[in-house]
Amino acid sequence: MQPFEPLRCVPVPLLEKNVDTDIITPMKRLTGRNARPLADYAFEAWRYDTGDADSGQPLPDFPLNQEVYEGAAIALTGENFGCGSSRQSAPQVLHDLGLRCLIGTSFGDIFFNNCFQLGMLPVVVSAEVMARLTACTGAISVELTTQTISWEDGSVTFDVNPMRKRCLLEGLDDIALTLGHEPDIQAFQQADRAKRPWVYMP
Amino acid sequence: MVPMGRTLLDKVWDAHVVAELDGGYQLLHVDRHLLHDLGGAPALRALGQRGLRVRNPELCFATPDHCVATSPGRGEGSAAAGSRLIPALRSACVEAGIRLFDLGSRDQGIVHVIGPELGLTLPGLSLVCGDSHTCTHGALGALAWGIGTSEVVHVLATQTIVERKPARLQVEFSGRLPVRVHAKDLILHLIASEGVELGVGHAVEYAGDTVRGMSIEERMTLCNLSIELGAKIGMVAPDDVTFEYLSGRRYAPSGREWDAALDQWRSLPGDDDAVFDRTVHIRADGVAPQVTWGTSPMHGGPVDRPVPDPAASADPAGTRAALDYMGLAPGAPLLGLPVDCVFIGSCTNSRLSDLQAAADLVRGHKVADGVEAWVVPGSEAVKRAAEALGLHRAFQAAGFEWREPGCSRCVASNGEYVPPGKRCLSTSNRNFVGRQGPRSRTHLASPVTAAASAIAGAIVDVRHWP
Ligand code: SF4
Repeated sequence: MQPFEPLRCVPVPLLEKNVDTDIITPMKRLTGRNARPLADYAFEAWRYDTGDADSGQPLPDFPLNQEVYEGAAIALTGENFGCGSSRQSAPQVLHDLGLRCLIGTSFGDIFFNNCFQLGMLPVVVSAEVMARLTACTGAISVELTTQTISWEDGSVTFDVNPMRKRCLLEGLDDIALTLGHEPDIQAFQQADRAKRPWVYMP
Repeated sequence: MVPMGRTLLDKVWDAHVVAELDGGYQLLHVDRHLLHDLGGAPALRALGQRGLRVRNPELCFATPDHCVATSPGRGEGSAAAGSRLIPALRSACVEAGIRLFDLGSRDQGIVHVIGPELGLTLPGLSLVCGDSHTCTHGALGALAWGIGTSEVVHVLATQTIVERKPARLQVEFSGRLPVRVHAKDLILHLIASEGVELGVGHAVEYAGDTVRGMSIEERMTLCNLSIELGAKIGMVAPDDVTFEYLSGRRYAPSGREWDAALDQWRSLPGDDDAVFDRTVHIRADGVAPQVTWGTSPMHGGPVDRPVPDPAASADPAGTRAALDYMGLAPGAPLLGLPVDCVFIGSCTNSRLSDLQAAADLVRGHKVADGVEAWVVPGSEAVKRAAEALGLHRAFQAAGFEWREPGCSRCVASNGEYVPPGKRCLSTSNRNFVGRQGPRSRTHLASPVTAAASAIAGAIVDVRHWP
């Protein structure tokens, strides 16, 4: 995992409500043999005129098809973004598209956790802050060490869990941290085996 | 200060804390880890690439379900994705020493159907799986939720998971469900009335006399759609119905261990003075059969109510987009809407009682011309039990296809798509854009609504079905 770096760009607006992980990565592309990288199929039902990345032409209205947003590392997302299935391919393709930070008013719970495992930062902001960000036309910046989002004429700080922050900044995932707890795990299992023996001998 | 009463969630959660981490995170022990064909082999491969081994293979169980073909008398290679992923799962499980309920065995099935069926899911256990409908297992009083691929690798390596305790949401259902109105209708009604964000950041506990009166299979249907409410976790406090369901199941404790387990399980329900962060009350007695009209489980309502008019809705653009995708005019009735496909199956509604209820309605009738109607049992055990009761003959005589167990058209990861533009009445749990295949149109409903509509060739109000 790459350590999280400060970001600055014109953010991609992905502001539909309740964007589900089936839209982000359609199941057909997860199991089939694809002609192109998975990220090319991200949002294909909305992104191409035929709803199919292989046969269709990019729709000029869809933000990911627009030049201004090329290479953007920040996206502004609608309510409950990433709801639905647990597939990690959803944050993975966003990562492949270059996104490192998603800013929205709420996220699907499983999706939210998955982002951190890939070194991505999901930020929850209030509806007011969201309204100001979507009204911006220029670039915005995200700085994790100071927990700040800033734009042309303003800035706000955001909350981030301290453990998640440290892992992102150091480029650590959970496995690396938990392996250090092996003695705790052993102690837990030993005590628990006596209390709930049936758990351990199915 | 007087300590506050604890909820079911508190009790089960607290019993699994291995270590306190920063920022309110905790390291929790995982008692059962279920794997399936879509994610199993890739996760085991990723583990190997990090130079790690499965820490407790005896607590992991695997089955192929997502990518298996469900055509009658299926062969291995009949689903393209399965022909790669299933052999990979098989060899990875052998290498890691993980028990696999393979194709053709009496135990294979949708992972959320077989867990409870085999007694792998027990009250008070923590259970995870790389699939969002893992919340289903909460019906037995287990703490169960879906995780992503990195987390699957984490659990394989450490038998633990990093989590933060969610807030507590109680949904209290009271009253009796009307005739031919099922648990599926009740949970769709909750989602339609409260929205798909109600549960975000929460674990739901379903309570109230309606739930107490439900079988375990009905409780599983309720818990299954918790994720559609935004909640990773849904639970029901274990009671005598739970214990009776589990007694004698293959992987459930027996003899003296059963007695000891039972003692502990009886103390799991929340204390009388337990406090929830939020409580929602819902009356069950007025609920009508539900059918969704749009592309979110929240886009639903009583089958006899017309679809909304975007201009009059709270979210005009979203409503219009959903209706366009579904090929429906604003304000059009759902009743009488012709359907092309009917799918009775998925981890929501593919258990024996679901199939029995559906079979009862189709006896003596024929599926309408031009409708492709499938019944896909949730597991080999369900299939065999249904066949012992002759349900397969009732379905086949009516013109339904009786298929092999698996996820099938719920997500079509085995290539069993609903064709583009076709309308499918489905007992599954998601009606997202493209969920059952590119440009497929999904209406969610209960097994009885699906069965009766297959016969009628159009959406019907099952309360008035002959
Ligand atoms: S039946 Fe559908 S929802 Fe259930 S596990 Fe399979 S694909 Fe997921």
